Amino acid sequence: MTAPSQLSQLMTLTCRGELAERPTRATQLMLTISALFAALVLASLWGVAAGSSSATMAMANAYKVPMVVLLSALTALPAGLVALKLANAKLSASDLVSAFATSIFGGTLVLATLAPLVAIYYHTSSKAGVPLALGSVFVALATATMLFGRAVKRKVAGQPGPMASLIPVVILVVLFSAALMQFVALASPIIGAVTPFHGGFDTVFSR
Amino acid sequence: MNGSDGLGGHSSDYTQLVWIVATLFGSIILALLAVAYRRARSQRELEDAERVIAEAFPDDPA
Repeated sequence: MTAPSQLSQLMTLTCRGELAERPTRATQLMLTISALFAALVLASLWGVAAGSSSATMAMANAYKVPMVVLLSALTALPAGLVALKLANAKLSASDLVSAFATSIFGGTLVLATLAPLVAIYYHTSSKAGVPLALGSVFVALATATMLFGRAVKRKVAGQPGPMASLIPVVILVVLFSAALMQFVALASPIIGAVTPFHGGFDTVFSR
Repeated sequence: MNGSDGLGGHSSDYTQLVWIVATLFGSIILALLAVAYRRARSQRELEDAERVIAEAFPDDPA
């Protein structure tokens, strides 16, 4: 069976940063795309939980949240690839994209894991519901950043100038976060309450 | 809803339009990724078949 094996490979790639055997180009591309698609499904689960205060919002979030994740990744990716070339890093572009996709998968896995908690608190607590929903996003972002850095570090281990490969990582993370903030604002309301992020950069940095 | 309910001083209609365009772009990218996935899967099946043949006939010069 192909699917469980691929999921297993994806989990190995996410947790360890690399597979036991170097995958062929076709396998690596398949794993990268699978990681992205799986991430979108997981983000959708969180979206449904975060918007569960109304059926309409939950259904809208099922496509809004994955789209926000996808568009943020697409916005950040070109700059990351250019930074990779300009930094003259030893890491290949396909390795960077693969690590980026698996780290997004890891981050959304955390989001989906916290989705039931977000949903139950959202319906039972007026104080903790929204902070928990926002907090789960920050935990997911931190996890994804850690996984991304670790994956790239392992891929360039033993090669000269490993720091050059970390420059595109930093740029990708910063640009992903910056794009995420604006796409969340564009797609709002995602959470059924006004948060500092509903107006994007302008409301987050209004003071 | 007044004229500047959207983001960055733009109207909410304008913001809505930006979101629709972005969503369309994302959908196109998703479709392209699905095509790329199918092609990569075909390529991998071909590589697997070549490997099986190479293992079955190790002395074959072809």
